[in-house]
Amino acid sequence: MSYDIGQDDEQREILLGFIEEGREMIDEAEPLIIELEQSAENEGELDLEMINTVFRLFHSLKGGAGFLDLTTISGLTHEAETLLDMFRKGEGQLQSHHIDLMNRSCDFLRSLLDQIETEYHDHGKEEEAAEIKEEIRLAIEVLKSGGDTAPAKETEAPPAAKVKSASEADQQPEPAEETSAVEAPMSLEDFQLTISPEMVATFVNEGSEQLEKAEEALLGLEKQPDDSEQIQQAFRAFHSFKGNSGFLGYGDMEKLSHGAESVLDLFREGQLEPTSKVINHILEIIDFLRSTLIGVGNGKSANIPATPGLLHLLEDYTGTTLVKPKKQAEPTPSTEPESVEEVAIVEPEPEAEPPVVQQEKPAPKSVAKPTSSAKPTKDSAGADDTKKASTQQRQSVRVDVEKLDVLLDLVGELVISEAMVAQNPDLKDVDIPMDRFEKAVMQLDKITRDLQDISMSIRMTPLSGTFRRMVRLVRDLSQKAGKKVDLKIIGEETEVDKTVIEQITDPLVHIIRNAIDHGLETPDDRVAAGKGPTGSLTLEAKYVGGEVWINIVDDGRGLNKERILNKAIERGLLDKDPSEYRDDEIWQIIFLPGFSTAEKVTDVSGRGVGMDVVRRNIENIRGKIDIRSTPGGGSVFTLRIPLTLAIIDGMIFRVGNDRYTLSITTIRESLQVTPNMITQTMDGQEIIRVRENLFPVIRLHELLDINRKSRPPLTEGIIMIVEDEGRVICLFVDELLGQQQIVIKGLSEYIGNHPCISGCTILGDGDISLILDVAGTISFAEQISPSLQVTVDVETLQEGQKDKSGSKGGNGKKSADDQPAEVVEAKKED
Amino acid sequence: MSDELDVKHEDLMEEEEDTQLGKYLTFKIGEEEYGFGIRFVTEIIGIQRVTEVPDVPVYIKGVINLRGKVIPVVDVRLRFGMLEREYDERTCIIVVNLDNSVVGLIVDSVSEVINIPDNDIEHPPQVNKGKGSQYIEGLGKVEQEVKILLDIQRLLYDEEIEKAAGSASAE
Repeated sequence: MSYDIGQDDEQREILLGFIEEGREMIDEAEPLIIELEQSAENEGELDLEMINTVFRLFHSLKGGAGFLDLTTISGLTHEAETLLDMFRKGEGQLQSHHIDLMNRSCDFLRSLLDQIETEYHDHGKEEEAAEIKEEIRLAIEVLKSGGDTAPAKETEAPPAAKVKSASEADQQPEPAEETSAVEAPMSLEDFQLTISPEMVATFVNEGSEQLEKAEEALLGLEKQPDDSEQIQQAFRAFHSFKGNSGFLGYGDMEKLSHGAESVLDLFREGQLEPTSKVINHILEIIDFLRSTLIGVGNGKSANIPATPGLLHLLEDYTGTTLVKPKKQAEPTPSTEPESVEEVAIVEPEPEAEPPVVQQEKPAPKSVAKPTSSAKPTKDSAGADDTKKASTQQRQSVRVDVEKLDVLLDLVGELVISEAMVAQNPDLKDVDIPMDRFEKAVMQLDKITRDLQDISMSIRMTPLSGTFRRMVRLVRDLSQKAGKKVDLKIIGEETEVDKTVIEQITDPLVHIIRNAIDHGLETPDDRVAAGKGPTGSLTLEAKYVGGEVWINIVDDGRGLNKERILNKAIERGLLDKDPSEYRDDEIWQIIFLPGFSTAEKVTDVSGRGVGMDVVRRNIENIRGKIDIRSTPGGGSVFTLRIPLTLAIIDGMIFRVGNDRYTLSITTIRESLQVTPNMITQTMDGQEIIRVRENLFPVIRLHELLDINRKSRPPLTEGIIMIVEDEGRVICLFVDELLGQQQIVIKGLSEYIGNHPCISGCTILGDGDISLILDVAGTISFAEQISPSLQVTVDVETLQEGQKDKSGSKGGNGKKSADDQPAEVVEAKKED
Repeated sequence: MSDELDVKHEDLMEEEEDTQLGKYLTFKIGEEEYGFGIRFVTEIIGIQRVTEVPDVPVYIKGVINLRGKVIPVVDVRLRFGMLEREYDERTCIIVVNLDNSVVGLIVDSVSEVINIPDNDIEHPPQVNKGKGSQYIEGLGKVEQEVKILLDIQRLLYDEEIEKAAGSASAE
């Protein structure tokens, strides 16, 4: 490029447009790629349409990049496209390491897009690109020369094949040495056919280093059997070695290192003692590997005839067959990704996978389900527009987010203004009949409401994008963690506001990480616990009331109450006696900064910074996190996010001269009380009996410490029974003023936050009404007066959670249904 | 000497709004006249209904509705630690914008916008007792009178941090 593209505004716009599209395409492609892997492994057959879709995505990306002269991108996508083309035409068996290649390409492409965003070019990463391209070409060669049968059967290098120039589309007889050559039209430029000597050399060098590391670690381990660092080191070394050998098609070496890795995994999980005997076997393997490595470096074969024997020896320890006749013809080229579905470690039953996958649920999207109905496009139970969101067929207009924000703000203001007109106090003074005016106002009202609905929906996007990204994450994490995870996604078509999407991605990642790293057990542990070896992780989104609920459910080992409490005590995080904590409170402890019960630090999780950030992110969008957990049964994390961020249905009421607003979803009922319903404790706490329930009364002005001249008796006002998550209280107010849609406005930062107040709104006559946050109010009230007993309602609690009523301390009144009735009976007598 | 240089330096830094430099909006609290740079002022309105907000420092009277925007208001008297005074028809709210924070200041009455050249501004006296003095940026000499020029930033935010840490409002 001879001119600085950054200076040209128009070009820049085009580039940015390309970047955005590119990102979308990659977002679409990634989950499909993963599905392809699973569908291939489970059925042996590829979903043609899926491959075509991915192919098309790469193709488009290539086209766009080519047009913009982004050679690095176009070069890479071209290779990827070629590889995909082979699968498309049935000219090769899709294997795990192809998936890895695709994933790596996607990651790399993303980083290129990032770079282009700031630097307007894609140069500077040619080396990395070349690496990936190289591997893709290699894979293509391997496929061409014999497809899926292990190259380990022959000499290590795939047979030399002549390259055909780009345009040739017809078959060329390749002089393959032994196996049947599956011909494919190759349209590749300057392609390196064999595994180059350089690659071998690199492999040999790296390999010996890895073997050395492994050996050192094992020896260290022998002396210190509980040194987990050594185990990790050895594991990592074998893992890498395995990967590399797999890539180059050195089947025996791959198998052996896999075997060693498996044993090390057992060490890691504490399932197997690192005795000298076992370590010796592994060291033997290292010896074999080493000598073979040298041989390979000298052009000799990578075959190790002793492999089955060596593996058998290990089987004594792993207790399972490591030498497994694979049902599909892919004995070796598959590298580490196996651990997700068919880890040789556990009793191999790949057929068992699909049944483990759910059956009953009508419309859930199971990512693991290999059948064609699991196509991303068809699955959404939603309407056509959600399909549009995920397929290529998309009619859309790109709009600047800022413009959208302005638009929405204006709509919000319009709602207020409209109310100010429709409910203008001046109207009350008018004597003449106002029928026509009222009709007109009704019309205006309706239109405003419709406008509001539509504009809210503009910013709403389905969660599918976010959820899909988790697919890749789960796969990678489960591999790293050595666990088998079956991910289910339900309700991805659920839409939420754009800002919500941005804010929940990180929390989701954290929670999923935790679930996989700490919640789900290894296949062995699970089997030992009587569960299936594959853990299940479900991501579910649905509308509940005025909220979107996102559930992350795992069937792992659940949260450990004792461990949490102990750690909390250790770190001085508790502010009351441990025995006084309800279950749900205990779970919430994990959100305190500086808390973590993980004993091993696996990557990021375990370092105690995750969860409090998670909670903060959720609170930023005015959401909450609920946790439920049963030991051995798993955990459920629920992110509850208000659906419409800014507009709610509010109930306005008056206390003294001030008006307040509450979301009507929190109101259970409102009533006027009669004296016989009122009881007062010796501390002055007023309690109301409503049918069979007793509720404490809160006088709002007293709670908020706002001056008020009089203290009217409870009978002269209205009692509003409000609740949040099973906690119920009564608010005493002077008057109910009516229901209306209100636009939530934040109180300025200058004012700060009050736990009871979640914002304010402007009423029709221009006055400001503070919006009461029921949850916050209840918590605040509990804090202020410890003798306050907030009823915990049995029915509204979700199943699985222990019902501990809020009764604490001395008054001896329980809030369960049965007893207090008697107590009150005894008191009242009229 | 160096004091004057200090004042000048500050002015130089604010040169972005140099058309408004040297112009001050003055207002009255009790018997004294105060002022601050006009560049912070967005508008001036008459006193209107203030909605109380719980758990805020005493000088924050609450919030008002300014054409659909909810903004907090500070009673400058209370901020100075002076006695509160009943609002009347002359009481005004000066709406200021500081770093995108919009706050209203309740004052007894608003006077005028005047030019005060830097030469006529003296550094505040060093002997300071009492809360209010920390907000003084300088003393401006205008004909026979002295206007107490205020540092808006301090007026709005000083001690805020302490207060926030102390009260439950920093949730």
